[in-house]
Amino acid sequence: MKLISIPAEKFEDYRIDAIFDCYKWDPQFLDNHTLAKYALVITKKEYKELAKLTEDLDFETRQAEEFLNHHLHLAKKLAISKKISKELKRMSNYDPDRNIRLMRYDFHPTIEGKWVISEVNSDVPGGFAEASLLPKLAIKNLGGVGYDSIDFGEQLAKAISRKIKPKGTIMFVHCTSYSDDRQVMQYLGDKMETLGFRSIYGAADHLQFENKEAISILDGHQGKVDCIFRFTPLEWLKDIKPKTWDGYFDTITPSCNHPIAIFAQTKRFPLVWPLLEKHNIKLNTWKKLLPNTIEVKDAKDKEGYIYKPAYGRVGEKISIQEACEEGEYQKILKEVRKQPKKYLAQQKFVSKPLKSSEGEAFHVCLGSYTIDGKHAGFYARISKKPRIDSNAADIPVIIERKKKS
Amino acid sequence: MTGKEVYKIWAPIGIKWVDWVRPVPFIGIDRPSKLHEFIDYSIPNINYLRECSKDTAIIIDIEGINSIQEGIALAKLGYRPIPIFNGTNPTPGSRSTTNNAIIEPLLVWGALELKTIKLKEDAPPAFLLDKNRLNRYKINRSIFDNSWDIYPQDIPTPEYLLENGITKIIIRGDLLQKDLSKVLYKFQKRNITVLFTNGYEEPKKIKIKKPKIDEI
Repeated sequence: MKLISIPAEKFEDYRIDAIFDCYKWDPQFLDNHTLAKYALVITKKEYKELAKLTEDLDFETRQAEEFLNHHLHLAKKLAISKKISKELKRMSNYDPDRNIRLMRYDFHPTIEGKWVISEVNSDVPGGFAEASLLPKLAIKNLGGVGYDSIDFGEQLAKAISRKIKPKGTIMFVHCTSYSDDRQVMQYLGDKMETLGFRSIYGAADHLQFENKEAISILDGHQGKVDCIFRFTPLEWLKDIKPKTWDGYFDTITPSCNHPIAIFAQTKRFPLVWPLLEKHNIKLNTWKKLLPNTIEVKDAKDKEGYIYKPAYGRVGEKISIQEACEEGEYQKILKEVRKQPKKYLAQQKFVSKPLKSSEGEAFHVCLGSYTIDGKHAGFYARISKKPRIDSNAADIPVIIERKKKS
Repeated sequence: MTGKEVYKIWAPIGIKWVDWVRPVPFIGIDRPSKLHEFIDYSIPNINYLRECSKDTAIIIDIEGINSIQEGIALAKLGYRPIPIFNGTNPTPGSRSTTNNAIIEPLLVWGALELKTIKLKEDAPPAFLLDKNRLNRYKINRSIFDNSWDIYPQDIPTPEYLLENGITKIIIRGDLLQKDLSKVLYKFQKRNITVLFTNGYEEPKKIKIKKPKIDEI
């Protein structure tokens, strides 16, 4: 794995093309570009290794979540909020064949020369256009030869097409006030329209449920919906008033993702592994790749553990001291003490930074997607700090072709 | 002109401050979602400033259309207008809380105007906002809520402003909106002077109240 520079004289045009042709509508965050000046090159061997690990992880995750779905008493340790827990029993009719299961596993290279994963984005993984169009744009700017890329969006669109009727209506459910959510939805919505589907964009409360079928109440677009593509996190649904969201849990309308995603979305998921293993659910790949994860109270006298929020996003509130802003570390510790069940403790790993040809060092988070159990592409971010958060930059992942001997 | 061409005029490559130009309404230019009623394309007079000061950034927070018109007027004074509109459009056929699309033809007009104005490379910034961004009223649940807020990440940090010689910010609006107040509190803390004008009177120094802890 290595970083290669987008030629400096091409970078500004590359950035503008990424904005307009690759749905990168949020190119700036504070004083930083959100688009790296590099591409991340992986070898075929690394690609195959990651794809295999990702599929193995995904098999275990799906086995675990389907088991938990029918043994909800085992899920208590996950500390899922009361409002959502109440609805979980509705999911007993969950049928994986009817829904589209999309996940992204975040891999990191370590100084020991191994891969570790930091989490699975089980509920609402993003980065779709960055994992589909951006690598092609990068390859074009690198001369167009010598590299391949995976078109994640193509595979996701096909997976959705397989499960809904031709020309069906898809509602892209998202937080409609955020343009960075809309860019993800718009990319996929446009893609589905090229395949003959009808894409409509709404908020979580623009759906209601009748006879377990999703019905759009979006102004001007009322009627039956054939697929729900949800980008609003499940744990945010519970705050919607009046309560119109419980139907998401037992709808027979195909969903991506179905709320079954909640079990692995909480980073407390590893805390139920001992219970799952007693029931012969194998989690060997997870155990090999995820650093040891324990309750906050059990980490008190242990060295080398960090705290993570159960429902954190984009690296927020993770207590990696050297990556925290001024005062942030103390603030996290205070919150951990106050609400230990909303956090977990995890053994810290030491990320191995990659050096660019200019001598800059970057930590890498390489997200690896699965759709219905099959590997489907990569989405990566790099950062000068070991915590990959909102200050990180998106970087296209491209695969080096084997040189002909 | 395409959205990309219009964007390149508002955000010419290699020029200071333009990295903060928000692309969202420029992308909307290529996806017209509604017909626009008659729009007045005149350039207003600036009554609250006589000249461009290199130590002063401006934030225009009025109706989106007027914000762009005033941005062009400020460009004629020597400021670099930086549109930071960030609201999306509803699915065609849906009514929405906010008319974000209305600024799209103004951005095209503004680009044509900007082409005729010679701005210095070190021109200080005038950030353009639409005060209607916070329109959240829905007559019923079916309406698409495309209101939006301004967040700290949408503009340069106080440190960046100071490094680039900006020590004052003038807000031009009807009132200091809540989201902007939260963003600018940190600037005030870093000893950047915040002034306010309603567009008719001289800008006056204001003191922004500390936001509640969960709002910081």
